[in-house]
Amino acid sequence: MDKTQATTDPETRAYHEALARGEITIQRCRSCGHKQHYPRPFCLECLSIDLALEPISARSTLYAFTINHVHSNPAFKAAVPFVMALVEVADGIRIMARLIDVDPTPEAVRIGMVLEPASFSDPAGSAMPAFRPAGAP
Amino acid sequence: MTMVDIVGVGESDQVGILPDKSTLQLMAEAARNALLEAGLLPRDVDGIFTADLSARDVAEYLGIRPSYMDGTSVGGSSFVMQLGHAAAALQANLCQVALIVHGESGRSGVGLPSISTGPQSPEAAFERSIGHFSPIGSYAMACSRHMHLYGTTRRHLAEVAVAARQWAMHNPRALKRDPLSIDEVLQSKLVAWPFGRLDCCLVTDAGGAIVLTRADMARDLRLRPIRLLGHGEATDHSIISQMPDITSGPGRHSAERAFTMAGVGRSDIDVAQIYDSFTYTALVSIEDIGFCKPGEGGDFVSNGRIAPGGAFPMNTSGGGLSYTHPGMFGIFTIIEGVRQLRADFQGPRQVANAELALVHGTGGTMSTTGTAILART
Repeated sequence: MDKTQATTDPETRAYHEALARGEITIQRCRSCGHKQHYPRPFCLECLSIDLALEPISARSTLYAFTINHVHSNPAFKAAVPFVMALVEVADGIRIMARLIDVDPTPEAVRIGMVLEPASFSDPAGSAMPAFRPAGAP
Repeated sequence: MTMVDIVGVGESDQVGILPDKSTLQLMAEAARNALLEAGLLPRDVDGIFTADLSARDVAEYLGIRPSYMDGTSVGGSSFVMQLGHAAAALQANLCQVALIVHGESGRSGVGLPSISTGPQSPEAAFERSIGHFSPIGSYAMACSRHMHLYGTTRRHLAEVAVAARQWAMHNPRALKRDPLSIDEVLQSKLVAWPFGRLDCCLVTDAGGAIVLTRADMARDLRLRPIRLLGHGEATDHSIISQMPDITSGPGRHSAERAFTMAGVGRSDIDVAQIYDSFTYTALVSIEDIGFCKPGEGGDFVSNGRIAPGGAFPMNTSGGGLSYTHPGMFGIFTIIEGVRQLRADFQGPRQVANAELALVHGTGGTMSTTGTAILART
């Protein structure tokens, strides 16, 4: 759970720095337009190193989820039950994130629901990616 | 091409909850039992295949000085994939006797190597740090989408757990042998929706080993050899957020490769051993292998079809759900497949006249698969 260790690569560090500013980002290749996540040092389609980290669009959809009722990490155990989501943020690109502002029940969480980006602070105070139902108060 | 045969299999002397035995000891017991079956000695072995453990440590511990080593360690599928690697090495004459071996003190944690990925890994940076609890959460997510797309239900999943338990009741070495009902599975404590505790495999201490030789040498050994008729492996991601299609995995490709090599069809298979890390793993693997179409796995496993007496005998040891599961179950799918083809069992566990067995391992978060087709000789 040591974020300073988890952000050693420059590309990974830039992603987490954007998160700290409240932005969820994906990489776009300036040469061929390919989009990718998680960030790599080069474009997986054309090998270009001319990559931009760009905020995702405001409209994403829920691709898959689970509701954690048990957790092995004491730092997360206190938060159960909570919803972990795979969110489709662009064609074929999915980001693992927390789903917030929703009841952690299979009745309230619907695959395909429209989401907007948000963030939450992990137990150590670092910003982590989250989404909430679009238009939620 | 020269054919390759399995000439001995073995488990550790006991499997289950064994706080007095280390990972290396469990591994060594399994190696000894497999070599005893084959009628071979450590000095006869010149090919070592292992996962998790260092192949170097394993060779030294067993008194083997190999000319060929393979430490492919990609989760529970590793050993099924290593069947193919061992066959290639034997066929290329790079070794004469191949030993695939595994031990894991998964429950008691005695002498267990660390397999968790480090804090700099993509898994830590992009999944674990957010609270994702893998592997269970990864399989649960995949299952959530399968349910959404195809109407698969928790009751379908429960069918897999109940069938496994019914087979385990005929396996005296199985950890869980009490009767189990669909309702008990549905009512078991939620761990990661849609999975309750009884949708999840056991965590035990166990070892397993497989000995292979070329067919010409196998003829002169103790037991009826079992032919490795076809094998295939495939990988399409490591962490779940990178899986191209979360409801269909690399098993599509590893199975196709294995069936093509074997020259047999799905309907020719008499008995199947399909890794069941979670109930859903087995259900979706049945689809990926091609025993039914995508989305039909729920109906396929229903009404006792995969249970004792059903039309599709599967996981006849009781599987990872009820027999044993030290962490990487794949080697036990091979052991059970071989024993079924040798007709080693008395009573309801034995599938009558089994001539062709399919074994299928899944590793990581549905990341890697190995499929093999074994035949009676």
